[in-house]
Parts: sequence; structure tokens; C-alpha cells
Amino acid sequence: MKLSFIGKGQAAVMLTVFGVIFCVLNRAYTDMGTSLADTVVSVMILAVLLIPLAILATGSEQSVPSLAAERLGLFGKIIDILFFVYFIAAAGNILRRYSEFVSERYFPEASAAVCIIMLGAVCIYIAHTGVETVCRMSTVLIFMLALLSVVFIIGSYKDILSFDYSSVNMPKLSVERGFNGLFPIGAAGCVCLCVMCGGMGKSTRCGAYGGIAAMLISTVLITAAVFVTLGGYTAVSEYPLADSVIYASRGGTFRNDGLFFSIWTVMCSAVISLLAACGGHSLRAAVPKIKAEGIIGGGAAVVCALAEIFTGVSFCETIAGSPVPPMILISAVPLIIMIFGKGKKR
Amino acid sequence: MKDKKIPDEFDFENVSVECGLDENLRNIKNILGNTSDLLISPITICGVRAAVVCFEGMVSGLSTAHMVVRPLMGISIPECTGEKLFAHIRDNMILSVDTAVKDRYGDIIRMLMSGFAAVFVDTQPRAICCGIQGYDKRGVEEPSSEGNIRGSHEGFVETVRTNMSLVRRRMKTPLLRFELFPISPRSNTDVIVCYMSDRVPAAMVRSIKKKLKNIKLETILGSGYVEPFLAGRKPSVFSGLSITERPDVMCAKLLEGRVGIMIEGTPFAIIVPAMFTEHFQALDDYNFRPFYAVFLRYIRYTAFFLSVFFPGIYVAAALFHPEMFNSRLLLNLAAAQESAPLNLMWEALITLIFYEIIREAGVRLPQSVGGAVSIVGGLIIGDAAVSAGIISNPMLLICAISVTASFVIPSLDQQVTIFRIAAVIIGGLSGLFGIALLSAFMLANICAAENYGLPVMAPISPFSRKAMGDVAVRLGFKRMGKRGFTVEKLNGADMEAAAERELEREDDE
Repeated sequence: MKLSFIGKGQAAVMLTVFGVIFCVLNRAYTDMGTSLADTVVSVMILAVLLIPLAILATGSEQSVPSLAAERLGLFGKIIDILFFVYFIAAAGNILRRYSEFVSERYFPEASAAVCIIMLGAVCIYIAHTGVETVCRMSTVLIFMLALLSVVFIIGSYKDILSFDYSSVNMPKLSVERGFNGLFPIGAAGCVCLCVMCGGMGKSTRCGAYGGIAAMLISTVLITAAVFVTLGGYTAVSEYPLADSVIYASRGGTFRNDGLFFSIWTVMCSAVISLLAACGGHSLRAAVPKIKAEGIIGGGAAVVCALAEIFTGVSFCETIAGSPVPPMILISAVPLIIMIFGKGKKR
Repeated sequence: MKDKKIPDEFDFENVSVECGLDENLRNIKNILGNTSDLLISPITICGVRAAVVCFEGMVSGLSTAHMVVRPLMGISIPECTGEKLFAHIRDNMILSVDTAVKDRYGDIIRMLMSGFAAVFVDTQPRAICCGIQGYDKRGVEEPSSEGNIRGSHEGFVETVRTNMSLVRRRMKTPLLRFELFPISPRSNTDVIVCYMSDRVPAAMVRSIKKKLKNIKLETILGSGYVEPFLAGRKPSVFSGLSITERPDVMCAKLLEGRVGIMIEGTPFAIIVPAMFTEHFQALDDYNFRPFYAVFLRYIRYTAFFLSVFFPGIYVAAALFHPEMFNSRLLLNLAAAQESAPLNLMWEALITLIFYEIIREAGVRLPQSVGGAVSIVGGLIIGDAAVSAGIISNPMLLICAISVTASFVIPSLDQQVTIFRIAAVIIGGLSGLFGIALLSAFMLANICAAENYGLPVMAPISPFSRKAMGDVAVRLGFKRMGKRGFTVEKLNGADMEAAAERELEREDDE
């Protein structure tokens, strides 16, 4: 199960996109300083958690799920199933939350379930084409991110210039708060590195740390932009980033939030597809006979998202929102492979 | 296999030529069903009976008389026998620069049909085939599908040998190789595989030749017949092949390490592998000054976006997100739309499908009538539709802009047409959300496609910084000439290994 070519730049952009999607879906913008501090702590925690993965995967041509299955036998296959469950839960969670956002804000004619099916269908196709395809989409996503930034800056330059930056108070950094906010979605992106590392070879470390650095920068900039444009209205907004985009386009001939929304949707489909494709990859590492693993992964994510909607039980959010699964998958699993898998490797 | 059975028209491929002239001529007639265009000229040379066989219209009458019959009649060999005569013709005479000795009916028939004349000598179980092709062919003209301002005005024609010479004239290097062989078991259509031997992996050439030889179609009447066999294995709307009608474009692609395939009977050559960004490059880019070429290139990128998404976005925004329009514009649009009875989506669909009908009529009809169709369809019916209130003016304008934009990238016409209509339908049913999903699908479709290990989205993704000199911008030749660019050097390209895999798959199949 070789992932023939995934560049460090592609990995970095995909992690950045995870940060953007977090900002789109984040309803809990409290205070600018607190939000920025939480983001910084989240990324610092992720950077520490990534150390075992960076040591294990650098130079390897196999993903962590493949390594686990190869070196740890049955136990490795159980780990691969855990990877699958986590990826599907994370994909289902983002799918459900984004579909709710779409249904509430841009497509009220359709229910969230319909949005899940539409977005899910595209994600199943993309996941079916494989992890490499999603990573290839990343370069176009860079262009999209650059375009978004330029449009936003042009639209809100007056707010950017007039904002009183001295009013921002950075609170004391707290590890406990670092596990909230960006952490769950950022961690999902970092778990994807466990699969993407199979194609990055020697540049895994560069991709991982470059990626979380890029994720930090993008998240900080977007968080700042939200507070700069919306000011005191941030806390009462349902979707602060979407509202800040609308607010920033108030002087223009056209309201450009349609452009932002379209690009967020493309990014979101890439994120969900990457998670689903990684889930499919993990499942195939455990059960090599399985075919069309991308379709299985994407389909499972859609089913989970629909189940959350119809049952009202947020089991995907429970799994994907908890810091424990990513900590196990990013750090503990690579450590176990390094410690207990060496003998088998020889 | 030296069977002595008399061959029939269905089983002659590997049957050996007989010794007797009469038997040979009878067999040839049998095989070809005594077809009317078969010409057999019996002659006697120094007392030995011989015959020149050819097809009417496939060889030049003058060349046959001057280059074959007259030299043969002038032969003088004392105590001549069939063997001596055949050896003399074979060893001492140059009837044509393209001469071959064949001893199987299959080979001889194939050569006759390619414009050769075959000389049979009594008592000799073989024939000398001389290439004196003289069939009528179209002259070298300006390509109809790839216009340009400052480049060459020569285009490929339907004859592969002429096309070969057009490429050779531009690339006087011993590293340029042409390999000609017949494909398709029934039509035996000549194809030429051409490549630069130092820039293309040998496995890739072998794989392409193998794929071509394995084509089981009864006939090959155009490049479209061959394309599916050379395209990547993953189904994709966007192809990993490109088509050109220009020898200069072919030369440029060969220098970049691709393989060209020219097919007898079509002026369109296939280039393997190809990238998506090439659709936005034109020969004139390299003749114009770089700053202007860069400007034109971004015009083409914009045109692609407009041609695919403009009507869809308009329909989506007007139906689902009218708040995104400027208030004055919204009032104007609403006023124009007030008299139109149809839903915007149906209006757009009708306009676009009507345009496709007019275009198809213009293409199929004779050129003299095609212009009239455009006038009647575009002006009279369009104007009448607006006056009658069936279609609104803004919709007509938007569809016209979109269609005009699609003319800028003719090589993507098929994909643009389908995605444009899809965008209108999806935009009309689900607004910008649908358009965004269609964009994601399209992007993934392009990114997933690859051919011979070269991703179609390269060099954008996987990103190759050096290649951006001819994608994001167009560098001047002083800088570009030093690059020695080949597609194999692009990030993510794995052509040799992919070709080996293709060969293995072909063997398995």
C-alpha cells in the first residue's frame, strides 16, 4: 500500500485548510486574546504530539496504518480499525457540522440531511480517487486561500487600519484550554499525516511541522480578521467568520460572500474526502482484500453524519472532539511501533 | 509455413508466393476478388516472362512507366533465366528508393495497397516491391482547428508520410525516431510512432506500440478511434492525451519528452502524455513578447472559468442568493426577468441547447450555408425570442459571453459544454452550494487523471517551481531556453515505472 508521491507542500496546505474549516465552523469566538492564546496552545500541543510520528515516518515509504499491520500483526490490525473509526468519526462530524452551516446560512431550502447527502456524494467520489488526489487538490487550494485573503483585505482594509490593536489582551496560556477550540479539527489533520507520511518519505518532518505552522498562521490571521471586522458583535454571531465576510463586503458592488462560501465548500469537501480516504486506507491496511476502500470510507462518513442528524446523538463529535483518540493515534501508536515493532522488522 | 495451397481471400496472410508467374497472378486475382482497380501489366524481359502489379490510383502512372517499366525493358542479360533476371533487378537496379523483396502474399498485398508496385518474375517465389506512391492527396494547408498569427501556417495532412516529412524538416536530429507499422487487423492502417530517443523512456515507447498493435477495431478512421486505448486507465472527463494538427506543436512536444502518434487518413496527431495546463498554451505565446503572452494566458484562464461557470453562477445567484447583487443591478435584472415566463434555469438551458443546435447545424452544413444558419439562428431567432419575451436579455448576454469565452480554449470544448450545462442545472436546483460541489468534483476529476505516470494537473499539482516559467508566466527565451525541460523531470512524474506497469498489464490481458 504505497502512496507514491505526496509532497510536503501538499501536506502543509491540507493542514492549513483544516485550520480554515475550523474557523468557518467555529461558533465559540470569545475574546480575541483568549482565542489566539488557545490556538497557539493547541498547535504547541500538536507539535509535541507529532514528535514520535516524525521520528518513525521520516524516510519510510509506508503509512503508519501499513506499518502497524506489518510489524504488529493482529494488534496492528486492531490499531488500523481504530484509525478507521477515528477518521470516519472526524469526517462525519465535519460533514454534519458543515451541512448544518450550509442549511442554516446559504441553502435554507434544503435540510441539513439533504446537504449531507449532496456533499457526501462528492466526497465519496473524491475519496474513491485516493489520498493522492486530495493532496493534489491542495495546490489549487493555495491559490484559493490567496484569493480569499486578497478579497478579504481589500474589503475590510478600513477596519484593519482603524482597529485598536492595543486593546487585545493576551491571557495566561493554559494547557487545559488548548484542548478545546482548534485542537479537535487540527488534530484530525495531524492524524491524516499518519497516512500521508507514506508518500512524503524524507520530507515528512518538514511537511508535518511546516503544516502545523501554516495552520497556526492561517488560524491566527483569520481569528484576528473576524474580531477586527465584527468587533463587539463577534460573540453574538452564529457563524462569526461568515458574518465578518459579509460585513467586509458592505462597501462593494457585489456581496462577495458567495465566493468565500464556494471556496469553503471546496475546501471542506477536500478535508472530508481526505479523512474518508485515510479511513479507507486504514481499513485496507487491516483487511487487504477490501476494494473500493474510498467509497466505503466516504459512505461510512455520510452514514455517521446522517445518523447524528436523525438520532440527535453526537457520537461522532464525542470521538472526534475528544483529545484522547488523536493523542493515541499520533503519539502512542508510532511509539508502540518503534518499541515493539522493531523485532519483526528485522 | 510453406503451404502450397492456393490462397483464398480470407486466408492468405502467411501463404508463400509460388514459383510460376501464372499461378501467382491467378492467386493475386483470387485474393483480391478480381477487383476492378487491380492493374497487371505482363512484360517479357530477355525472353523471361514477368509482370508488374499495382493498384490504379495508388501509384503514379508516370513514375511506373519511367521508374519501373522502362528500366525493366532496357535490361539485357545473355542467356537470361528467371533467377538471373530477378537477381539483376534486385542487386543492380534502383527502381525506387523504397524497395523490398517479399515472399508472402500478405506482405505483398499490404504493400500494393500502400502504393507499391510489385514485380513478379516467372520461376521466382518472391516479388520486388517498389514504392512509387502516386495517390491523390490534399496539399499542406493551414490547420483548421489551431489558428495562429505569427507561427507557421503548415498543418498536417491525411498522409502519414507527408506528416513525417513535415516533422523531420523541423527536427534535423538523428535522435528523432519514426516507427511505422500497420494496426487494425482488417484495415491495416499505417500509424507512425515518433519520439526523441534520448528523452522518452524506452518502456513507454514499447508500451504505446504494444497498445496500438493490440487494437482489434475493424478500421481506424480517425484519431478518436485510437485515443481510448492510449488514455489512462482511470475514467476521467479530462484526458491525458492531446491532439494537434500542427507539426511545429508536435516538434515542441517531442522535445519535451512525449510520444507522437500519427495515423493514416487523419491530420490530427495524438500526443502522449499531456497536461491540463497545455490547453491554455498557444503557439503564438512563444512568438509574442512575454508580457503580452502572459496577459493572453490569464485571459484564457479567465475565459475557461467564464465558459464553465458564468451561466450557472448567474442562475444560482439570481434564484437563491439575490441579496448578493448590487441593488440597482438587481432591480434591472428583475425588470428584465419580469416579462420572461420561464424559470431562470430553464431559460438558460433553452438558450444553451439552442446554441448547441445552431453550432451543430453550422458545422454539418456546407460552409456557404453555415454562415446563413449563424445569422438566422443567432440574430433573427435570438432577437425574436427576446422580443417575444421567451428569453430575457440578461440571460442571452450571459450565455453569449460564456459561449464566446469557450472559443478561446477550443481543445476543451467538449468538457466545457457538458460542465456548463451541468452548472446551470445544479445551480438552478441548489444554488451556489451546488456550483461549489460541481467545482470540487471537477477539480478532483482533473487531479485524479494521469497517463503514463504523469498527473494531468502537473506541473501545478504536484507543484514544479521550474515549470511555472511556462504556466504561471511565460519567460523569455533567453531564460527558458536554458531549462531543457522534459515532462519526466516534473515532480510526481514517474513515467518509466508507469510504462513498465502498463506493459505488465498488457501482458496479463
